[in-house]
Amino acid sequence: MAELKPHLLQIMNGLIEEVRFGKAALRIAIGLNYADPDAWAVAPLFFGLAPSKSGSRTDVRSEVV
Amino acid sequence: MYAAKLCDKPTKKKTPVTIRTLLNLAKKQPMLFTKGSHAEVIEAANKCWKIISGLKVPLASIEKRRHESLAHLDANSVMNPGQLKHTAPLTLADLEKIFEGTEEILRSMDRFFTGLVGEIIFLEQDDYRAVLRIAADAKRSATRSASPKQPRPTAESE
Repeated sequence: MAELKPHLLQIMNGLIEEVRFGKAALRIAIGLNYADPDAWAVAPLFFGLAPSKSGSRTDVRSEVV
Repeated sequence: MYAAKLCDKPTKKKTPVTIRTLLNLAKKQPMLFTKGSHAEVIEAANKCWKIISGLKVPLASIEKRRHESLAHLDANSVMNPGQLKHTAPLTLADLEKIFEGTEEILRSMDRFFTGLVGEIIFLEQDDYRAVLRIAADAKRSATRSASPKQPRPTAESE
């Protein structure tokens, strides 16, 4: 099968989209890391799992991910 | 995973689109970047490769985590679940550096292409704060209503 070759505009758009989503996910992970404990107490499982897309997984509340 | 995807390395079977693809394209086909001379484009690409080299350590950690825990479940990760913290250390600051670096690369290469790329963000990227505030307020008011009411002091008791 022939290899698909995207053109420059498609490559730029694809990479920009990844950076945009990655930065947003990271910002949310950092925000949850320093969130009010009262907010965490509402749904600790949800808030614990929410940033898993950024690779933080279970130790989201520590500085090391 | 977003950071891993941006700087992924090609394999025998797949050639993913990454920052490396963009920089290789700039070196091989600088004529695609229509707003600069070939020399300027190649020089900018070389500077961008230096940014990638500066991120070598966190990128190596990300690659290891991607292969052993995020994209695939490695046998070693199953047997030693906490080991990646030591063998592939990674902090939130490392991830921030990677996104800053890749954003800088995209902006500097785009200067020779559309020239339109500014700061790469979602405009509503802080809206999670509203959710946290509502959740915290709800928890506090639930705690207040659950606690036994204190009798109001009367004039006689004062």
